[in-house]
Amino acid sequence: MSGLLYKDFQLILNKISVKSRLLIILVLLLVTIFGRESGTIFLSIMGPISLASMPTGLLIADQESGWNRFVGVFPIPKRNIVLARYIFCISLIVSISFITLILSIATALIFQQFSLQIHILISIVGLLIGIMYVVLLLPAVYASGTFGITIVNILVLVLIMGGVYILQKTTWGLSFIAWIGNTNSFLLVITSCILIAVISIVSMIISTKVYSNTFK
Amino acid sequence: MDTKPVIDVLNLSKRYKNFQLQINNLKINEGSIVGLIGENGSGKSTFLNLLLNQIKSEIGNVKIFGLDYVKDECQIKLNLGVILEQNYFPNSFSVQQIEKMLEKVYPCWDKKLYHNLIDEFDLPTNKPISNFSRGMLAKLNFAATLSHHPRLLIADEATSGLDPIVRKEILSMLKEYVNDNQMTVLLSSHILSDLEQVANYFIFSKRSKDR
Repeated sequence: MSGLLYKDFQLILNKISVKSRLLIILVLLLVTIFGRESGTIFLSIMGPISLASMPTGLLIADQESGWNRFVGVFPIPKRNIVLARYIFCISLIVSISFITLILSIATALIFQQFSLQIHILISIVGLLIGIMYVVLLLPAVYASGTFGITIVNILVLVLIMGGVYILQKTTWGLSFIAWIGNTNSFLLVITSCILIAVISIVSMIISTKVYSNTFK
Repeated sequence: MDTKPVIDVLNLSKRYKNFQLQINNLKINEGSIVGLIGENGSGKSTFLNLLLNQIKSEIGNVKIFGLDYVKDECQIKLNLGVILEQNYFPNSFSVQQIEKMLEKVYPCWDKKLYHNLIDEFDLPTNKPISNFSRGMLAKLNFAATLSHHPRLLIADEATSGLDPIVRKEILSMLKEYVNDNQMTVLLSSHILSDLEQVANYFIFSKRSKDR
């Protein structure tokens, strides 16, 4: 499995030239300097979500090139082939979340516009949204390739719009917002983590089943 | 001499819409170099995919090294080398990066052998393989596959599309390697002269007309 992880990480490094890496670092710094705390809060949310689509692009490329079938000749169980993909995707999101968290904390200490707790909470929210997006995308991509991404994006958009409507316009939604405001943040984060862990496991089981069925 | 069969196939059948592969009984013993020859569409690649567990048969049984894919898939694949017509390594990877990937996949990866084969084939180690010619890719695939010392090598049209000089070079190297190591080879090709150069047994795959 470590060979597959090496392959994915090295592939990303090969694809992103040194110039591109420097450009990404420059953009992060500029957003931090000029956007200050708002900028880093924006990065904390958008960074993981933006990065979530990168590994799925890799998965589609692997499907189209035949790598996904070729890797079946390696002495690696199918579930580990899928698990390696999940580990790769999630660790990328964790890494960017960690970087944006560092930037966030730095701006919080320098400018003291928002509390440190808000920065940390928002980083965690960004991380969880990014992971959620990946665990929804991967089974869809294994099942349907590029079309799967389109389906998930539409689904996520509908869920967000539906969720916003329910929260703003319904009594239940307003009660839910009030309850969230009164609940301990730490407890909320722990509950969210458990929920996403369960969804990730279900997602992985579905992906493994779909992937194994390609060897019929 | 009582040699164990490395490949043991019994009543194997695979059906597609317009095609059916049927093998009643086939045993390939250890140390053999077997050429699988047949016309296009006769089922050579289907048979090899069944041996590699890349596709499943409707009925029948395949045992590799006396082991079953259902229970011992990883054990089989640790000792299996596969060379296909097309290159599947990432195009942006260099020879070195492919080595780093494969040495993590195969516990018995032989670094020295890989470097010797790469040097013998005169392949550049730091350039992306997207710059490689077809012949260079074929040599790379052979080097990468032999370097984990497989007990069974399955090659599906591995020398197709290569010029005669490169084909001769690869097949000579393969024959020399097989003589030095106790390895079984199943080589599929529609080029009879290639198989005549290395194989000591032949399997003929025949396409029957639909009735």
